[in-house]
Amino acid sequence: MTSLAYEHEVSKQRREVGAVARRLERLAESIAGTSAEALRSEAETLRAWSIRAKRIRSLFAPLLSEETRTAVGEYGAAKVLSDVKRTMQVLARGADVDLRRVPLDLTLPEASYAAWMAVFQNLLTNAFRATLDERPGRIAISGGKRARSAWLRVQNTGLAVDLEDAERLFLPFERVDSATERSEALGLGGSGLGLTIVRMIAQDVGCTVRFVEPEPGWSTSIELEWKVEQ
Amino acid sequence: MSADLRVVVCDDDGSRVEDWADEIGHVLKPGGVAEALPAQLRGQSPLSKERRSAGRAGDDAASVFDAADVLVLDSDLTPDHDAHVDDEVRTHLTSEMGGEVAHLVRGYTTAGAIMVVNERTQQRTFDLTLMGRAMAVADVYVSEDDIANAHLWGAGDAAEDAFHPSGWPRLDLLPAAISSGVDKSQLDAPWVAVLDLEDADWTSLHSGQLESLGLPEVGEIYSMTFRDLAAHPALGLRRKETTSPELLARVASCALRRWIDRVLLPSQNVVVDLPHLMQSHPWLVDGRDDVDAWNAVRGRWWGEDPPLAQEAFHGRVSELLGRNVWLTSHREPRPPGARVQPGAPVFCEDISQFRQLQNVRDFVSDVEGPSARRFVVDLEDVEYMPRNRLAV
Repeated sequence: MTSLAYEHEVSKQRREVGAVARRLERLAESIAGTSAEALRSEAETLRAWSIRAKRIRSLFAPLLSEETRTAVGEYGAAKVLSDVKRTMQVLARGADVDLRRVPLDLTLPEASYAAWMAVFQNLLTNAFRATLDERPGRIAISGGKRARSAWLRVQNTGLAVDLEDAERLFLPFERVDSATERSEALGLGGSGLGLTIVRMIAQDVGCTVRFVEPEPGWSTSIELEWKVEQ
Repeated sequence: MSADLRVVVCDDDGSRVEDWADEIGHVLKPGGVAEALPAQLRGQSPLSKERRSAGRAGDDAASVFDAADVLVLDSDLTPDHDAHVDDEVRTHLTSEMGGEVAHLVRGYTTAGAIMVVNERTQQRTFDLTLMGRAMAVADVYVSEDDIANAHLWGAGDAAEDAFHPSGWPRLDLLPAAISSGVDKSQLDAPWVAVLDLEDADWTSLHSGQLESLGLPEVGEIYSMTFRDLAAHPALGLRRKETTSPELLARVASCALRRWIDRVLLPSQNVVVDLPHLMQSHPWLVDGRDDVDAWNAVRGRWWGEDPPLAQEAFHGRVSELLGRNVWLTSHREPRPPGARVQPGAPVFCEDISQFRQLQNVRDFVSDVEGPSARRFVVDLEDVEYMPRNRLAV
């Protein structure tokens, strides 16, 4: 309820900003010279702000639909990941997320769309945070099936996680210290709750989640695995 | 009608109505005019008690609505907490919703089409259920982003791959369609007979379509009158509401138009529109291997020549809807050997264009029957709700 009220008010403010931009543009049409250019420039700045606000809003937009929050279904991994990648672009800071190795026929365990958004948004936020110092940071998600299970793996080229110590990171408020201060400043979280939430949701839908040995060329790899019928 | 379209924009915020009127004015055809609700009427009850009890158009404040071909209503008429309005106005408008005003306007004025802006969402949104507004009173619901969408107003310079939901009407055609509805002398006539729909395939109606009219048996559709439609609790006036016979006929006609357009047509089982006729009968399309050939077929709107299946074209219903439709019962049988090929282009409901299957996303809407599965291109600046339907 609160999020709906928040969304309503924020959207209202965003449209006000858009209206001011339009008025400035119209004003610019009625005058000439450097003043007109200045007005257009200010209008452009406001529009850019409005677009960015809209993109940030898209992070939680799926939560605004009750069906998306509550309808449990077998969603396609590639489709959900494609959606998450798109909504997370505003936080990616140039990092590329490669989804080419996610099989198109790979189906996620039954859960709500919002639950999977939460899982993958947290995993990608961690990956963005880990690759802050990479130019450019590389992130890849792959998936597949084993004899009795299916899996998805999120890998990145950023900070490595010590597998001996990795289990600790799923506990509330535990985090990899070195990236925290800067990532918080950049709006990439770092409170130490992301992986706790991921594991909580994953366990709820019959998934295990753990750090695994990364493939060659990658520094960190976290894997979701779930049982499938043969 | 379309050349002289008169649009009236209503909101509590003076600068916003001016902005919206200005934006809409830019996309209207020559002769069209978009004007803001006069300042002295903002903050007033849009329809006085006297108008409601008289139940007829008159020379009062609401006459500005009577003269509107298209009425644009902001959904939230509540003034901002820091807006400069007096206490009386604030008290009156707080929680006043455009949808409610739309209901009163439809019942007590001769306004043409009604557009409600920013109801439920203030972002450009595509409804993947396709049925979210099935029984709603306004003729179209849009976010502020689309009040001047060229497709909506029938402007010639509309980009083909721009947002253009297939369910949108053409607002330049709709006022004429509404005026073409029944007159008061037909109020007690069965609408199926008046519209020459007696030999339509009503037996194929789905249960939800029938229930939406409040009918227990399909046979009862033949005796349902325009007056029954005007008294339908969701489509028409509410209990104890009364209006003049002239306006009642208008209420009934608008109710029928919306029901056919939003409840009947989506299932494509009794009447079918051009894009879905092409999709189900691709052998009617010349050069069917080329997606451009599909998009080149014109004749979607009332007034444009129906390009194919003349034997099944239904002019009276097309005129009422403002879009061309065909009767499923009158289609010629499938020619021997003709079939729908798996790789055929598909109609994208969000841009109203055909695209190749590999370039689109499919979803299951709430439309009853085999037409539930639809397609969209998934535009970047549009929110698709509920989004989970694109991920199955």
